[in-house]
Amino acid sequence: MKILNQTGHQGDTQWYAIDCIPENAKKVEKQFIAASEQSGSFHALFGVYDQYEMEDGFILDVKEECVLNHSLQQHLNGVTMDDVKVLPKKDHRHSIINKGIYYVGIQTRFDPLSGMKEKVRD
Amino acid sequence: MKQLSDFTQNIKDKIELYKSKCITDLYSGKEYSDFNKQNLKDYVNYIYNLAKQQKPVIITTNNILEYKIYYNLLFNTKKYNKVINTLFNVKNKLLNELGNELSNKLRNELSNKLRNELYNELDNELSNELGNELGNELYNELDNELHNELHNELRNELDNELDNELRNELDNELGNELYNELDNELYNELDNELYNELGNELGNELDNELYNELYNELSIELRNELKPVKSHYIFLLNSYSRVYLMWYKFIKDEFNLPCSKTKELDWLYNNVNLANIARGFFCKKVALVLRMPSKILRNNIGFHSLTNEGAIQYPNQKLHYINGRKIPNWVFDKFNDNTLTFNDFIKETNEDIKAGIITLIKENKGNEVLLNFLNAVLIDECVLKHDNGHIETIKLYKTKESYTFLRDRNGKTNVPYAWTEMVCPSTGQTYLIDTSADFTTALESIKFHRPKFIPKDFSYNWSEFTN
Repeated sequence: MKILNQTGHQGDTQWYAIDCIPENAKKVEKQFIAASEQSGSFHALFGVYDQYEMEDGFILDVKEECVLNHSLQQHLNGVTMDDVKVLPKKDHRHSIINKGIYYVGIQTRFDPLSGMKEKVRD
Repeated sequence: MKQLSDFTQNIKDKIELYKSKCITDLYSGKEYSDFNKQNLKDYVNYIYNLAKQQKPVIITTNNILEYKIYYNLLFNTKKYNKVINTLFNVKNKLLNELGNELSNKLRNELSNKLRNELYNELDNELSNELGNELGNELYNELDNELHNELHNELRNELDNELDNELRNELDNELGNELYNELDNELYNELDNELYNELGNELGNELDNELYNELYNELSIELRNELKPVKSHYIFLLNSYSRVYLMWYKFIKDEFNLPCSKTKELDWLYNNVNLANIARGFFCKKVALVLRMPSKILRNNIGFHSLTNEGAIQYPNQKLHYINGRKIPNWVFDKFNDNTLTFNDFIKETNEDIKAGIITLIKENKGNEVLLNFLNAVLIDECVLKHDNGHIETIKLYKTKESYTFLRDRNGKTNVPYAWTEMVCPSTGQTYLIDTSADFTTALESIKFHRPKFIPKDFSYNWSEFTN
């Protein structure tokens, strides 16, 4: 598997185009890429795609143009993640994700007390 | 059908006037200070009438805490059922018989008693006292057997019923008569110029924050006294209503479109600001209404204030935001008391709150004070131009001192604290991300903060989007 480019970021979620689905990726139901502990907001992709789980991130096999939203859970009423829909934004503008395969992970921080790298929290 | 060519410069120039009417006095606090409760009651009664409902007993609350207390008294206990029922009957059926005098007397009595409760430390004793006092005068009027029945009636939520009826009565017709008269281009233009910004500010951002604040867990002291409360969204009875009405009023008046609901639309538009309603809980016999905040401060990103007055203010409560991100009160309290310490910053695990602390110090006291607060020096600064056109400045800071209990990514101990500074392109918020102390360049450190999956030597260059 090869990383093709550093595609983009929406807040602390980072997108990287890759050339194929890694062998160890496990297919899962569509789910939020990330959710805030404090504000009730989430980053999620809306449209036609398959989602796979990896250690520390997801693989998204995007079949056609999708919308990446950063919104609040209360705006999900009546909307499913199969709908290509722009939701009211929380903090970050929506992004259009083109057809392709992507690795998506969360920006990390380094904890100098533990000496470990971990995902940032918001 | 109105076309884009009908959207003359003269009409465009009026957009700012309409938008200003929506928010200027609301944000400045004038609307709150000029408030007259009768205007709110008239507006709610008008809406109920429009939805073919009888007039409810209207309880107005001036702030979020008051709303929570009144909600508990009205809906989580049964002791006011009879009072509400009596008032409701007086207001609707027996008005002529009993006369306005008695109606006012009863309404004032309820209001005074509830108000007393609010300011009386919330102990159980007081709620008993209140119940007893009211009981003497009013409880005897009604049969005890009605108790449960009344409670059900009182709790008969009207959100769906009101919403459906109002949509039938008003929204559908306005939509058909006015909205359908705009061709797509004109609609899109109006949507961008007139509606989007305020629809987002009032219908999305403000409504969300108030919704969250009403549903937020109560403080420990109040948790035993009060249960969680409810409120609901009705398009003509919340912070969004004025934007909804502005949209149709603008189209009707500025494009001279005929409308069978002109009278209703004009009345609602002229009175919605005076009603000053933020959210509420609307039932068959009683409407509990939360007023708008007393003042709102924003920048172009969202709610924003770097002073201690708060970005969303009620007389007894302030909600702090920096660049649209909610910041807990302790940050501002400590900053203003000059008791905010480096340890507070280090202990905080939420990056948005840490960013809030940095922005608060930086914007109020400057970079030098920030570096003093962190006891840090700038090690490296780098400007990057990404393939998508975004220009990003990143910085690397380290504390002057080393600490025996810290380690870097290689396991070396007795190292300084180190941070990579980056600015969020969407919010403008500055983040200091904890990094490993062995880095000597900002670029090296920001590459390290990518997910573990990405090799550290992979080029740091955003190709498509930076939001």
